[in-house]
Amino acid sequence: MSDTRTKGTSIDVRADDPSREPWLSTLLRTLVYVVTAAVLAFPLAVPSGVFGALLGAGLGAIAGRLLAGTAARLHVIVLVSLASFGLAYLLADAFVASDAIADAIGPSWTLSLGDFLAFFGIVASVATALRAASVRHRVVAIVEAAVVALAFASLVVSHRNGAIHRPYAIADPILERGGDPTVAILVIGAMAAVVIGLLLLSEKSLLRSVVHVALVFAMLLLVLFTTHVAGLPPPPPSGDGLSLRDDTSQGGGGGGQGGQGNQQGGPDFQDEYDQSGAQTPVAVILLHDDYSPPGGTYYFRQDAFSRYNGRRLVGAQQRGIDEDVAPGYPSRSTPIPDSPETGAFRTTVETTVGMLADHPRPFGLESPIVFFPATNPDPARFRRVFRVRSASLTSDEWSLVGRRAGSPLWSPETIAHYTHGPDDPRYRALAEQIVAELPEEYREDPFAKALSITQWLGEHGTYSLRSRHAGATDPTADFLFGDVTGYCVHFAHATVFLMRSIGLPARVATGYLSSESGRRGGSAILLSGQNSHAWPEVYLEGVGWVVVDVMPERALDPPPGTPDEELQQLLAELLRGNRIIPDDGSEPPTPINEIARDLRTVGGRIVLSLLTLLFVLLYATKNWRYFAPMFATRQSAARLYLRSALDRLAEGGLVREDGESREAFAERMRARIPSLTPLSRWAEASKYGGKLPPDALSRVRGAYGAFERERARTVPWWRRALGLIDPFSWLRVK
Amino acid sequence: MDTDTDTTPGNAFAKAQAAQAAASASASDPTGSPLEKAGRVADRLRARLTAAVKGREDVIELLLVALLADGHVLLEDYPGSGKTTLARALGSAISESPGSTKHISAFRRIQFTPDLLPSDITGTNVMQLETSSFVFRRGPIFAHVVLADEINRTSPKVQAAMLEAMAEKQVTVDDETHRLDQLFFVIATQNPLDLAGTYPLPTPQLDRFLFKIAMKHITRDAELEVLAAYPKPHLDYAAEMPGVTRDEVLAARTALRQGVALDPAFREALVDLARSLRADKRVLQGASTRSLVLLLPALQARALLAGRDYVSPHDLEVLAPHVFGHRLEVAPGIDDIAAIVKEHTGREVEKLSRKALK
Repeated sequence: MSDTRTKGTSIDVRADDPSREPWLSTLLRTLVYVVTAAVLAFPLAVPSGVFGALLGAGLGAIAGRLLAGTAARLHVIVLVSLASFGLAYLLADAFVASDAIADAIGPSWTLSLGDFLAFFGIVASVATALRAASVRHRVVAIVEAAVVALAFASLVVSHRNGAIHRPYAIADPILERGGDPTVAILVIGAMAAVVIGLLLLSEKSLLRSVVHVALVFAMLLLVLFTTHVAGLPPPPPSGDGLSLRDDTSQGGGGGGQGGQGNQQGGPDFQDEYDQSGAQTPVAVILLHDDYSPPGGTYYFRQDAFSRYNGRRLVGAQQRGIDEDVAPGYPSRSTPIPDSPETGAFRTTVETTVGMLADHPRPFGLESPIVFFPATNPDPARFRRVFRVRSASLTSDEWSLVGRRAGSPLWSPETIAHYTHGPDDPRYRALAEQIVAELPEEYREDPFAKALSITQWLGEHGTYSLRSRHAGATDPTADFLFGDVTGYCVHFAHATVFLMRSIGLPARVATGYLSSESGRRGGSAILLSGQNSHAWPEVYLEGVGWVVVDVMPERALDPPPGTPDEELQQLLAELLRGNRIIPDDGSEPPTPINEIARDLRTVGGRIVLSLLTLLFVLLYATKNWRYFAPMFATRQSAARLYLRSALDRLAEGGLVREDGESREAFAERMRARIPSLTPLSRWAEASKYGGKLPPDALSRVRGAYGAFERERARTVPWWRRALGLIDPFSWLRVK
Repeated sequence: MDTDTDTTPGNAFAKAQAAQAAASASASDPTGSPLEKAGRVADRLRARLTAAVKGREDVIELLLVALLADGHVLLEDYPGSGKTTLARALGSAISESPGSTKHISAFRRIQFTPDLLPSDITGTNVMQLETSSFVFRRGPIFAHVVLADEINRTSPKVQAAMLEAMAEKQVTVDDETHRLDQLFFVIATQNPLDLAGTYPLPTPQLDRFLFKIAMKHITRDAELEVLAAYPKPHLDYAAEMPGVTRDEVLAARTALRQGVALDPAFREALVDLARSLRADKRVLQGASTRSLVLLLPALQARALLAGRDYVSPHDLEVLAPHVFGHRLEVAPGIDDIAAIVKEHTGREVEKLSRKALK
């Protein structure tokens, strides 16, 4: 039978016909290319390079569009483009390297021009290849959209180790002027959405464009809500050398640290101090009282180690010993036993700690008296928020001179515990030699003795993150009587052992330190991995544990850098909204922003579950339509198998046109997929009262088998695989 | 493809048909149901016409649909495009049934001119000297297949006589009615361009034609094939192929009306199509109810020709433009009637196609 319609001898080629793209769509796409190139090149290139990228993107997009309309084969276009990519790179390189050009036009012009050439060539070749591919194959439009999205995402990508999400270059100038960077970032996000939307809007069919825009909108909603529900990504796991955090990658791969002693914890000696987490922000501290430490350094104690295990100091795990360390996070106000009294030597300082990384226990400005739970103003950002009331030292070193060591309340066992050290006589010899240098009147004063030891170590020691003591039986002795080169753990142990050898009660504490200058005049302190520290402490009667830290005069490694001031301020602002949670469990009135947050959480869950439900339904229907023919009867077989076949074709993008009859569609497909004709015919026969052969079921099944084979030959495997995961394919079947 | 297979040898009707067919001189296959036989009649006719006329498969199909649906066609074409060959081939393919006493010519061509009179086509009563009585002498219209060439060149009076004959299958001369043959099939032609001194058929007259078929120039390959047959024309080759008898064609007409399944959905689709055409603002006068009635057997005939025993939406998609194209009067300034018909038909076909999967 012949049709009045021209016989379809090839599978639908209309979508690939470049001449069908309207000029407005071409213009829009070129514009999108130009904007994308500008966004990509902006942080990378000097102005001439950005201009080159702009020009390259525009010309490349037009060239790709024109080339796609010619008879040139796509892979030739792409290969030539890639070759010109390399050529442009080499040319720009040679241009910059050439002395003659530099002599002729001057070095700054040479560099500018070189940048221009490089960016122009690279962007133009990539744009040409991408555009041509996209015009020839509509699937590549996904790559186009992805490139655009990536370009914009690279602008606002998270940095600073994932602690905070804001682009440095965009947010900081706004913050400096007292603005809110969120607005700027939202504007950028909206621009990205508009640009991608433009790309998709320039579809040929209005319905498709509407569907695509709706999809983009749904994606934006999804991103908005999921970041809220799932939270921001945590800081990357990284070592802090002192095992202060929960998320550090210690344990199995802890290097020389080994598994022994992990039960008791405590800082162990390492040949190379694990510094991978140095830049990771771990906490932000808000000072609620005006307090400046006498030594100019804030110490935040997390843990204390006083039991000598024959090699180093580990956790005591004994009643009455080191009980001033918080047992865990407070769920109600938790007073700390054995905390020092305020008064002559100490003052009350209240601080809020917002932890950005997980820690096994809270830490507080030395020495904590009470821990209070506090509301978390931003659970997505802060792991834990609590308040600490500390009795912080106000007296300078001179006023502490004259206090006795230890406490009169201590039992002899406790005194023995805090003065137990290695049997090596060299410690005592060295300690006595150091003390002997003190002026006559201070030789018997415990604090003066302690200070003289730290001073001696400061003068003779060298700070280095790399040392070779971990292998020794007594690493401290190896350090102290060797090259005196090591890091905080070495210095702390050496100090404690020296002090203990002459009967001073001492211990090692770990936590974070921050110099007062880190505050920069504000009331917030940002702690990062590089602030982790171990230091020696000595007990003075009536004062409690006093930090006596060693400051090595020589250092092979640079001192910790200052924290990022903007980040510090921003996090402090975020943290400032917290309030203490009362012990009676009464809820404080919820502020409006928290209500909004809760609503967002609920909204996010609803959107997420609706979307999940939608996709589950889509996939369920898709699969049901796939498996339904198995249960077909003789009457329904033809219809169900035809539907299944049409689903498979739709997965490959082959669908019946509007107003086209099934037979005409089968006729159009006939050249490649002849089995569709009998399938369509039987289906229509069963619908419109035609007589079916008695063996209809097996014949339909046979035809469907043939159809699958023909489809496998016609549709490439990757297209079929993509179609398999497409939940919408069956919706396109009419 | 899907013809009836449950033929019982004891079927009396089939036996009778078989006997009749065996008696006939034509090379027909004696077995099969009436519908199968009708399918074979259609196939034989198509094979013969395709052999005779090259590059006109689509026109041949429409022509056969009209023949089997008992309608008439109007060809719009250029001189020398093969319409006479086509009509002659069709006429020569249909032979008188053996044993028939009537002698009606298989094919007659009437060239319509302005000075033609009705009696020139219908025939007239003449005085027979031997018996001194008037005897009716049949005009050229008494044939199986009549080619009414350039029907728009003759006067409305002749046109009216012709169209009456087409509609009623009878002619009236001097108050005496003479029945035309049951098969009577008219292929009228008109030149779409050369309109000087013509009497264009008004739309109500055009309504009597089932199809108006615009013949386009044939393809290069087909044209080469035509020339390749020189000096012996294709018609002569075709004459050697098996033909059909008049009775077979009439039986096929009956068989397809009874045997080809026509789902009620199509009746609804046709009515909806006509209504939506009438509702279209661009259309001044829509399709008549008669056209819908004529279309029903045409759909069945198209299905038969496509080897089906049921009417499918594709039949409607193919036939609707030819059926409605010449029946619509459109608003001034609109010239693409085919596009309008196609648009409305597409909507109905879409509805039908969607229902087919449910």
